[in-house]
Amino acid sequence: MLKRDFSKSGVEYLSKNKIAIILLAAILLIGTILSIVVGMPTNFELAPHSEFSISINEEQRKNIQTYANSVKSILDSYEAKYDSYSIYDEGDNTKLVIRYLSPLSDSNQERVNNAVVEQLKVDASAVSGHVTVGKIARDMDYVYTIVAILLMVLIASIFAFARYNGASAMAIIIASLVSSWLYLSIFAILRLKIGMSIFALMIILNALIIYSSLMLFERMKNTNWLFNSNFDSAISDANKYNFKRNTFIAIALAVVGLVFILFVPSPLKLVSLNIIYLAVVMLFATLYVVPFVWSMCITHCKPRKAKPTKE
Amino acid sequence: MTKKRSICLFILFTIILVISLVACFVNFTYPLTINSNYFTYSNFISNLRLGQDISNSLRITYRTQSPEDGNYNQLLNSTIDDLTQILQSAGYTDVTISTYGEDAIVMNVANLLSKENSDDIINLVGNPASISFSLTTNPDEAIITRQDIDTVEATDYYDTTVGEHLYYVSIKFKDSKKDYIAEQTKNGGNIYIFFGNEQFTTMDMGTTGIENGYIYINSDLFTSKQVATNYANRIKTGMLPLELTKLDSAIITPTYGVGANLFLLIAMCVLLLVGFVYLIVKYNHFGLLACFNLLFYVVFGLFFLQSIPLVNINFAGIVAMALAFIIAMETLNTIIKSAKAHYNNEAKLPVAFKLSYKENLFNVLMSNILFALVGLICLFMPVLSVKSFGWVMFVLSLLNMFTSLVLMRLFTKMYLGINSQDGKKLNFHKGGKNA
Repeated sequence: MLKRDFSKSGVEYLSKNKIAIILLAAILLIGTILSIVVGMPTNFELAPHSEFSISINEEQRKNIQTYANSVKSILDSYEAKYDSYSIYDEGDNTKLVIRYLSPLSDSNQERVNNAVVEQLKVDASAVSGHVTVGKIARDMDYVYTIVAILLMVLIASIFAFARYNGASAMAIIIASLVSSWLYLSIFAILRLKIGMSIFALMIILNALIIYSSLMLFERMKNTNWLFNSNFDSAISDANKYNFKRNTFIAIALAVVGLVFILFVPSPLKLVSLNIIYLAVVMLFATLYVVPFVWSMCITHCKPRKAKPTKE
Repeated sequence: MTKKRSICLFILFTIILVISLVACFVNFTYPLTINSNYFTYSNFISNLRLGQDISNSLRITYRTQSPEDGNYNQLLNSTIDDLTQILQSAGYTDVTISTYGEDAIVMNVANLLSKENSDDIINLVGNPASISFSLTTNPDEAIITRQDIDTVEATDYYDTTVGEHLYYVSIKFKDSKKDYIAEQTKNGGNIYIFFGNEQFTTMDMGTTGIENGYIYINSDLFTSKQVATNYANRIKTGMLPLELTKLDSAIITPTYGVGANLFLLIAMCVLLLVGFVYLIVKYNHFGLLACFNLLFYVVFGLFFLQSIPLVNINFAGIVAMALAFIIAMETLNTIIKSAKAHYNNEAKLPVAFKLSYKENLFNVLMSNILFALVGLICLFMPVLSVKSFGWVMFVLSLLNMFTSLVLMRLFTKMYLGINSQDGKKLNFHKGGKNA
């Protein structure tokens, strides 16, 4: 089991854990290559998609998952990438709406319609053919979210630079970038579709990393690390404090994710799982990446002059 | 603070909290009232504006008509923007419009509290025919079409002679047409306004008049700014860049399924419960005090979120609530831990807490201002889920500063009036392990 030794600085620790560094670098590299070469998989919020709807009755609604899976298998056989299903109540009619990402050709669509009618024993008029739908989010929506994250990191790093030092600002920037990319890399590697919720969660991730980093630097400032040449002892002390705080937040986030998984309806379960994953990435970034980058950069920073102590 | 005074204050705050919790979660008819429809109190939770992922929404599908000239995509985007703006100014904050097929758009408007809401929306944007102005009752003889109108605004001014606010709608014509209209209407007479072939209203130009290319419509029916805004919005629907024909409309259940909001409410209650159990087990009496403070935080939070008109709660907003609650808990946790450390170093309880609040003042302010800033940045993003996250984060971070630094401090003082000696009741131990 990987144990953190707080008597060692980030550089010292990570240099003795080369496997961790290699593993992290590999994840980031594979994620980068996949996202550049194949592209990030996106869900219907971010990509044009098709909709296929069937009117269903109350009885069929009770077995909705089985029913949706049957439609899914039909779509799969026509190489349409199934994305999700949702149920719309429209007065007396209940509509099962299947969304999928590869629009079928018209001839294939007719075959799919026939297959649905045949296999699911529904009235032919209850099946309405596919229609290509635009993205739900606008083209620039996710770009705006990324800009929001960058703006947030920029403001925090300027604050850290002004109040602490350049190493602190650099630690915030690098930790935010690495953790954001690590967060997205897993989606690229596992080919999980990302939607706007992932970008919203990335805002939370970065906010927590900034919060935790600032608390760490504030602790080091309060323990007079700025006037002490022994940076290793300063960071090991602050890390102990950081560890408790971040573990508390991460566990609380994981509890939120677990509670949501238990209580929320199935379309939200994946988002809830992402919250737990977010807690893990946040813990990694704040416990390892921030101290590591800070330890590397601090040797290049000029020590500040000590303030006169108050009587 | 004396023991007696502390107990009195605790009783007072408990009564306030109980009343606030009732206001948060319970709907009731005001006692001694006859018509329950007009005198029903609606709680904070049901007043929250919910997003379409967790509440019913109205879906309208329109067919768009391609213009003979002009860039279709550009006009489509402008039409979507204008429709969104019209509905938002009418009070519907969660509006999603996406393209559907080659020549259709689908509009979803969430947070339908009643059937009247969907009727209002259908009346407003259900049949957005082009607006035209004619001097006769024949719409084919129109002298002004939608292309000739520049802006439509609802405004108000305070009339000192009457001593009250008057509301009116101003229509500004484009420069190329303003002299022409003034010329056409200089002798008074009526102007008939049409949506398509249907007459909307008539204006007597003898009393209305044109001033610098503006027509000011004033009516006794404009009893408030919102009524005038609704009137202006109706006119704006006739100025959409693309002609739209309604194909169908339907009320649809939430994206996340029926009962999604109930499940989320249960999840949030479980989360609160877990947090409270943790605090009580860890800090005993002070845990109870922290829970007392957190309940006030929840009540105030819900009050502000339902009062601010632009706040729209969707799943991202719920996640922001959970995150804000964790931060509030962490803030209290830090304050108590720090007090525990001072107590362990032989400080008395009142001194330990005084030092702890002093020590953590900057941290609490900095972290909450940071999260409020994050929320503020998110508010400027055009994505609804991010906006929802931003509003919740912004409001709850500001609130956390108040509850943790002011309210909690007051509760601490009250508690120290009852127990200022026995640290064991807070799970504090002299000379114990430092936090």
